[in-house]
Amino acid sequence: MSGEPILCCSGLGKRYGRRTWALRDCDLELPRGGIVGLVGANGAGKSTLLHLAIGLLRPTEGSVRMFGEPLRVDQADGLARIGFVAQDHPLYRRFTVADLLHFGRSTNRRFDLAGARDRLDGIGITLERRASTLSGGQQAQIALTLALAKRPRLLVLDEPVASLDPLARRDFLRTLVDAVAGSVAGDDLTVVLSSHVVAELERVCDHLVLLDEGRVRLAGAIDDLLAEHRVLVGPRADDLDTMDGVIAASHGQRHSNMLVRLPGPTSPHPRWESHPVGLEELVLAYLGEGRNRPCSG
Amino acid sequence: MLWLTWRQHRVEMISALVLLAALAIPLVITGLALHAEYQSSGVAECVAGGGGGGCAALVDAFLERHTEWGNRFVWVSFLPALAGVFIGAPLFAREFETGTWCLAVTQGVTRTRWLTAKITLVGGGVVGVAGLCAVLFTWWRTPLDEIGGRMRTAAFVVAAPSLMAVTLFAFALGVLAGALLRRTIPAMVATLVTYVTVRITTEESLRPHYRTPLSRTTDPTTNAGTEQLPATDWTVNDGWVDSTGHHLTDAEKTDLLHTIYKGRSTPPDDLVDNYLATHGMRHYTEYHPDSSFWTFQTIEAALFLGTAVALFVGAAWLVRRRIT
Repeated sequence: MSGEPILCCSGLGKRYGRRTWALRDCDLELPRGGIVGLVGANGAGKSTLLHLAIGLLRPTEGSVRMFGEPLRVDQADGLARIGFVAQDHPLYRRFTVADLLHFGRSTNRRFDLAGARDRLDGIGITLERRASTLSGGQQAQIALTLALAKRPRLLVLDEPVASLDPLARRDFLRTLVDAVAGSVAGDDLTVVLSSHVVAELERVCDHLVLLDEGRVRLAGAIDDLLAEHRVLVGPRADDLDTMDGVIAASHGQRHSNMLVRLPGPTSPHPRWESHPVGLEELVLAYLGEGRNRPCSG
Repeated sequence: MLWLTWRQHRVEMISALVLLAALAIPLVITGLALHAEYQSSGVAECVAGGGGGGCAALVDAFLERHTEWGNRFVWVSFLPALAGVFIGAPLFAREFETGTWCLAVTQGVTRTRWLTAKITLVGGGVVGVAGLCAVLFTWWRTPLDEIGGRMRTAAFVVAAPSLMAVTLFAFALGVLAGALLRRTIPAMVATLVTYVTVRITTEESLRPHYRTPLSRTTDPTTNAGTEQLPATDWTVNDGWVDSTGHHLTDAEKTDLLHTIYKGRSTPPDDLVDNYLATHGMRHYTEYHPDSSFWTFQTIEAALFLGTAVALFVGAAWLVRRRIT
């Protein structure tokens, strides 16, 4: 987990049409290895960022670098490093599972056919089935298997579990976690997946990136983020919103609740009662704060 | 890419070959009979220049029996629309519609290779099938063409250069429509409408002018109309010309006919021709001789091939703009 960051975005922006910016001023560094969760409301720019990260979109401004080099998807070498599963995990519906594996093998220089067969066999998907006859969960598993069999260094998944039922979600994420754990050092796999269901990410992700209205609001290792933030409860005070480090505040009749980001290993004033924060709470606080910004600013 | 392209388009390819076989079986059976009759009835000898008296009647009888079927080949001009609508239009539209383009371009194949492989392999297959159709249709028509020339629409549109080029054009049109609209059904409709418009325009307004037609004027009293012209010529225009060399318009011709027929309930047969002769007017015919056939084929093929290449470039640009 050292060396060049797997992905480095600087000043990245994408504009659709004349003035709609889907993403703007995005500076982001993702460390190698592990699973990165990308969260944000619908329309926050998650898909745009993911598509830019693997060269499916060309940035309007800024740049994307992988291992310190510009992303080259016009070359087979650049393509071999990335894996992608698009939203709703599209497959050629008239292909059988065996056809899809053949497709993967014939369009990639490196393709772990045996591993892919084993994985599908392990989850009970037979090769003769036609893709269109499989359940959504099975199709997602096939799309993931195809992407993993390329042995990419960066695997990008756009809302992979949004359309799956809870059981299929669990299976899908388990496959993913196993794949990351099974990747060997020096050839390690980094996964970036987007979701608007935070509870899922908490279980599988090591790293979190929070997008809001086309900008990165928060990024870091989940453990660090949780350690840095505290929920403080104390007597009601109405001037909290303007204080440094206060992310969100809510007021009862006598008490005020606020989420703060502590600058370091400092303790808050003793009149405040300090509690740890959950990931979901943290994400919602940042998203809510984003909404209110024009009023408070 | 070879395997993927084959796997994605094998249903279309097999359907095309089944269609070809469905056309070939009746055409081979009737064609063999036609060729046999052409030889045995003596018509072939007449056309070759021998045969002597009674040839006109023989040839007429032969044409009487077979021209109607032969003329149905004009419908072949719409056959390429199938390639455009069912193979060209979905080529990229379906990938965009189902999102599978994301799957395709994130494998190890570069976008440029993906694009060019799809266009060239599928386009090549389509042109190949068109070539087989052309051979079949042209062979069937050979006796009729030896009598009537290859310039007439039914013969011209089934010739290999024209049919293959037009088929590639129709395919390219579909590819472009699909890349532009990114939806299969609208792309199919747009392809069909554009193709039919272009095809009819070509037949009606373009092909007669590939070259300046030859012109022949004939004396009305000794040589009435176009009847004595070689049967292999393709007449594109005919009418009356006055002594100053002016070609009479339809309105002028109608006025003149009114003048000639004025007050006569039972006019004599040669009334019009006599009138024309005494007023210094003659018949004229503008035509393209059968010897222009290959020039015309080359022009038409070049025209459609050039357009097809431009459409492919446009489609590739559109797809690349969408997926970087």
